[in-house]
Amino acid sequence: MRRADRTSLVAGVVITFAGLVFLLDRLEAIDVRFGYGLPLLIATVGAILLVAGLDGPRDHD
Amino acid sequence: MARMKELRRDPERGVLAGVAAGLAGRAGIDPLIVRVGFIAASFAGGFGFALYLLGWALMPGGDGGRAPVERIAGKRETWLVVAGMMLLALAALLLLREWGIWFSDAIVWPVILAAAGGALIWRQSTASDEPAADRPASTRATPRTAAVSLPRDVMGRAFVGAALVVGGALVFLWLNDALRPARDVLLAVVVVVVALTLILAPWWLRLVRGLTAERTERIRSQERAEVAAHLHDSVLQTLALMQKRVDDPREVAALARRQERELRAWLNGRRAVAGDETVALALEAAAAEVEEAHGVPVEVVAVGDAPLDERALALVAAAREALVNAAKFAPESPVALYAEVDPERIEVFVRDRGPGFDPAAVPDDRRGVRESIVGRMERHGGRAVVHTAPGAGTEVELVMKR
Amino acid sequence: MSASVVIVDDHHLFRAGVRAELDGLVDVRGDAATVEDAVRLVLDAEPDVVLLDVQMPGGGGVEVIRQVALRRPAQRFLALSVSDAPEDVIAVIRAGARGYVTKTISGAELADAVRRIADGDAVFSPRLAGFVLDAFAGGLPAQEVDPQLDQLSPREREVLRHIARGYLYKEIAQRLSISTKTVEAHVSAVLRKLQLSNRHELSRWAVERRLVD
Repeated sequence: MRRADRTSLVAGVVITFAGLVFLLDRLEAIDVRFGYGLPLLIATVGAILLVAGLDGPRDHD
Repeated sequence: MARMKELRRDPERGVLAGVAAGLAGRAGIDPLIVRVGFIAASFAGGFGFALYLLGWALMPGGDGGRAPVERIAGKRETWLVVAGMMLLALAALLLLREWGIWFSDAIVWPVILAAAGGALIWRQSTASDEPAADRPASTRATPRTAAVSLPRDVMGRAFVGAALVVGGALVFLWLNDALRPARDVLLAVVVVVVALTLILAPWWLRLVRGLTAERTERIRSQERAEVAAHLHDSVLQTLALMQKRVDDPREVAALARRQERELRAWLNGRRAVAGDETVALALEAAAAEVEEAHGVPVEVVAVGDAPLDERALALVAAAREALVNAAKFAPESPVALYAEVDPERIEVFVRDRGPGFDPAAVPDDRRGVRESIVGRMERHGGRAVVHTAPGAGTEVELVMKR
Repeated sequence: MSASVVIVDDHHLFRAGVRAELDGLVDVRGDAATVEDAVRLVLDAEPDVVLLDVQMPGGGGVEVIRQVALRRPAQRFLALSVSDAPEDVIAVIRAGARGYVTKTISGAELADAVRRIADGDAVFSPRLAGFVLDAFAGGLPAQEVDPQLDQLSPREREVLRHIARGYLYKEIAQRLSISTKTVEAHVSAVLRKLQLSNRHELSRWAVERRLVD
């Protein structure tokens, strides 16, 4: 898989997941306490940054 | 080696990433104790987990790697990864806090900050020459330009580390409501801190610059040792041999030429000519072999180059035979090999200034040898022509299509 | 009338050796070991040819040529070196040397080379011929360059190839059915092209060479 695509893929998956969770919260299907929501948000951003960093540069060997 | 003292992970003896094993190795205690400590700290407040993560990220692994955080080339990517990991760790901690697995806010956050800061400082103070070791091999020829981390880098990281520690302490005090009565003293404290920084900064700079200079000096003396070792191994031996063989001038000349060839190759950054990568190298290797075996100087001039394929190999073999012939039948004259490689064909001319011969009156044994040159070339789609005449030397022309 | 020569080399043993070999064959008017001494000696002694080591401290042979050219532009130089690195060789020719030989050359051949330079010709060792062929080998895009200056004519290429194969001028003349003078004229023309040609192409070639080596 090409480098840039992996970041986009992960970012997409993670944001979609977070979005689903918050959507369900909105729809009252599940109840997301703030104490859970904040970590989820932060983890989403963190994961995207991490994958971006790991995949950013070209091969460096 | 001096690097033993540094804090490293030990992935071989570790369960997860060797953080506990590494710490235990440095402190001289059983890794199990360290692991229990991490786990207990995780249950009782979550920061055992975070500390472990920090350890993994900031401690270099094994015997020669860089910390995972640093293995990525380029500063931007490094910071992305660091930020990403920090946020993930933060999210995990908040989750733990939510689940009640927590000490208390007032304790955990300051300790995390202080631990991160402390780790950064500690890592900086034991920084080894890893950036130099990670240089790609192609710059081996100019090791003098090996990177030494800039004082600015070092200072920056140490500064951030110190700031984190101080920040941790302040947050601790604040969360524990201990700052209010201290507000009066705060100004005085700040002034004192600033003054101390100004006083200590030059010393710090000098320390850092000293480390840099020491590293360059170390690299230089390593190089010198390498040169000395090589000279000792080869050149001194050859010179000693030459003094012993002083009565045989041909032997002395051959020794000198061999050593010259080897020293030139070494100076150009290659080891002994392997002769198995390109046409020019293969021809040079063949010339060196013939020169040593028969004691006749062979001069190689090559224009252009190409990778070795089956036809080129046949050409090199035919050229080697021509060289051997020239050395055997014209031992008093130097042999010149000229090779020209262009996109359509490879041409090799092997020339000597020996007595030459009359092509018509060739004795049987020599005719067979010539056949092997001509025959070999023709079998692979090439051509070989021998130009010679008595008293005019000999030139063997080899042409191979690519 | 034998040619007069000055020897410039920072290697003392080598200077003494060359003096001894050339004694009687040419008129040795002095030797020098540093760039400053060399310039002074050349301007004083006014020899026909200066035998010049390429690698010397203080800028090397190229520096000597540059400084002498300011006051004595017609001075002829023959470069002499252990180095067979293309950059060194090409650099000294482009600075103005009219020939290049390696230090393993015999005394008689060296004297002959000195005489040829004194007569105004160029001296190419087989290795130098190889380098020049290599440098001019690539096909150059037609618009960018002056074809007269930046490419070798087929005849010149043929002559250079024979030199690279180890032929002497008179042997080349015989093989190509031309006179020795014509051979010398071709070699001089190549030298001029080497000195004047499009700097960009030659330095790019030198850089590529360094990467390949």
